Amino acid sequence: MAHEMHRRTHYLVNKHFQLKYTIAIVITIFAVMLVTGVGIYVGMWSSIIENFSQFKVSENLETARRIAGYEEARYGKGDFRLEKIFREADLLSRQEQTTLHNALKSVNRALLPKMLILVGLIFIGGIFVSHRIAGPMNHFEKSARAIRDGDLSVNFNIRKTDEMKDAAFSLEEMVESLRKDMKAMKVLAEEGRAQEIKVILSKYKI
Amino acid sequence: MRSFRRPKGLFVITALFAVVLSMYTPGVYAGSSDDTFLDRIQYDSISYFVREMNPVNGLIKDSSRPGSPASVAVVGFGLTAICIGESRGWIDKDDAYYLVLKILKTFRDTVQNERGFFYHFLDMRTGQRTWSSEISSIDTALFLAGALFAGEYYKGTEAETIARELYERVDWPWMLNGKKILCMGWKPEDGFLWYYWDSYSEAMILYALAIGSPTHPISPECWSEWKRPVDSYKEYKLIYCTTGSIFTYQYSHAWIDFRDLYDGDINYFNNSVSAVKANIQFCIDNSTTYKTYGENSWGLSACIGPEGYRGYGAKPGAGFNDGTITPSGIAGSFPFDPVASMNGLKRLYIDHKDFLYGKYGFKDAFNLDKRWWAEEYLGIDVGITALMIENYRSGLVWKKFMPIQAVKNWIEKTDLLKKEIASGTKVPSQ
Repeated sequence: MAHEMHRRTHYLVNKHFQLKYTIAIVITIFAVMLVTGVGIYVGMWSSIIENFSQFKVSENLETARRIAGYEEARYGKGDFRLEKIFREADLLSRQEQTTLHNALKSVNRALLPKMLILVGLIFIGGIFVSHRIAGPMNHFEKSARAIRDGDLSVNFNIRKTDEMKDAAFSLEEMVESLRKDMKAMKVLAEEGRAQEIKVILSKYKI
Repeated sequence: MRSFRRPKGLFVITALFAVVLSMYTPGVYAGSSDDTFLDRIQYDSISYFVREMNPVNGLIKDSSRPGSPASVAVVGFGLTAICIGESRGWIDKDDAYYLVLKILKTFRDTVQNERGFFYHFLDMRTGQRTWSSEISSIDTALFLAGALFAGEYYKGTEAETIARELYERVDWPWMLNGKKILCMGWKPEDGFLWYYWDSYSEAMILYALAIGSPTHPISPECWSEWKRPVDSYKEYKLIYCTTGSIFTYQYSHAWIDFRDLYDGDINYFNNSVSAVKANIQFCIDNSTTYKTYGENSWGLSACIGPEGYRGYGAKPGAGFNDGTITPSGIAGSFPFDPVASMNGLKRLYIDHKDFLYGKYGFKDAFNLDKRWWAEEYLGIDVGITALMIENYRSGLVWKKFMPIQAVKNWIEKTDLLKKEIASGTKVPSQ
């Protein structure tokens, strides 16, 4: 039964607060995806456009043909044109594989420092943002302990930029009310007006 | 002599050099002296290595074609060519040294290597392996020849220290793969290639550097392990390369002065002289078949042709023929037959300059039968042109390269100075 009572039925309990942080997380993930995705896409495409342009492919075909010619002249192979075509194709294919491999390697190398910077920025941002929540929580904790020990002079004021302003306001109202009641009861106790103290205490459910 | 304050960046050097080049290009016209003509060709050829260089790291393109990767052999030719340019006053002393140092530092610090050997082709931007190319023994040797030459040219400087460091870190015995002949290369995916430098070829400089290494030498016995096949074309008998390509008789000679070296009774300089004469004779004999060939149009060598790069060559050997000629075959023969080379280049220039001559000198090749002219320049071909013309004119490369300790080691270990064994073959003088 108690379990039933604590079951959450509304997950959007603080719409503004929750949406704000959900958007922040989505933006962070999007930024990471953008840097990696755009980096790979632009890097690879620029390499492909550069290395596989009609002009470059034509150059590479000529180079493959030339190197096959050098090999034939040096190693004294016969004039087997078909074999030479296979050799040219083999040279070209290996070269293109190397070109793609190098393009990927260079894109990865270019992305690595960007990703490190991004992770660093997210880390700093995380500390900064979490401080807006962790700060008030820490303050609330200390103030609650002080109230427990009987100090009602504490406050729940937080910085303008901190989160949980509503909670702080409610807690401040609570301690102010307690302060007011305790102050009144203290005066009534000194004057021996027990009946009026009872009236004040009657609003507290224990 | 032009002199300007040393700029901070290679961009500035390259730009200024380009401006100076355009202002100072020697003119060639009917009746120009041989010197003016050779100045023009060398100047234009050397400019390839500055203009086609990545100013950030000093890597040089394999060919002038857009998209071409860097070639380590071309950088070797480039290092030598830059020093030649400086010696002739075409490149400011400080700028030339700056370029050389930039290249050497890139190869020491950035360029991918395996036991000191370099990949044949490199990415122009990163210096890393490209086009799945192989670790190439001969291309590494051609680079190191250029590096050692530059080190000797700038003796006592940081350039010499780095060049020596690059050379001494090469683990030459590894490239033997347990045999007595050097392998052509190695790939990380497949291991050693199936092909070995097992017969006469351009690889003499590779064996020389491998035997002469003070840190990781191969046995001197390896020198005698590769075959020296003998054959004749008409009256010209020679040790020949199976491709018959004339560059195989030139590349080692670009740095090594073989004139006074005798391998038993073989003098490789004289051998190349015979190869050049055989090449000329072959072209004369086939001039009725191919319009391009003739008394002044010869030099069959591996080059770009109408159907791509081919291993063109003459006899003796099994070189392919389709009427394509590369002017670098003629230019690279200057020390072996100066008269034929001068006549050949002048004739090509006069007859075909509109199609065949451009900003880096002679373009790579042409074929009259197929009405085809190459549009591009190959780094190794403009390189052999610049180096061999210099060896013919001043012997600069030979003079600087022969006193290098590694070369002395090789000559001593292989007894190449034992003239008494030689058959008395006449050594041509220039």
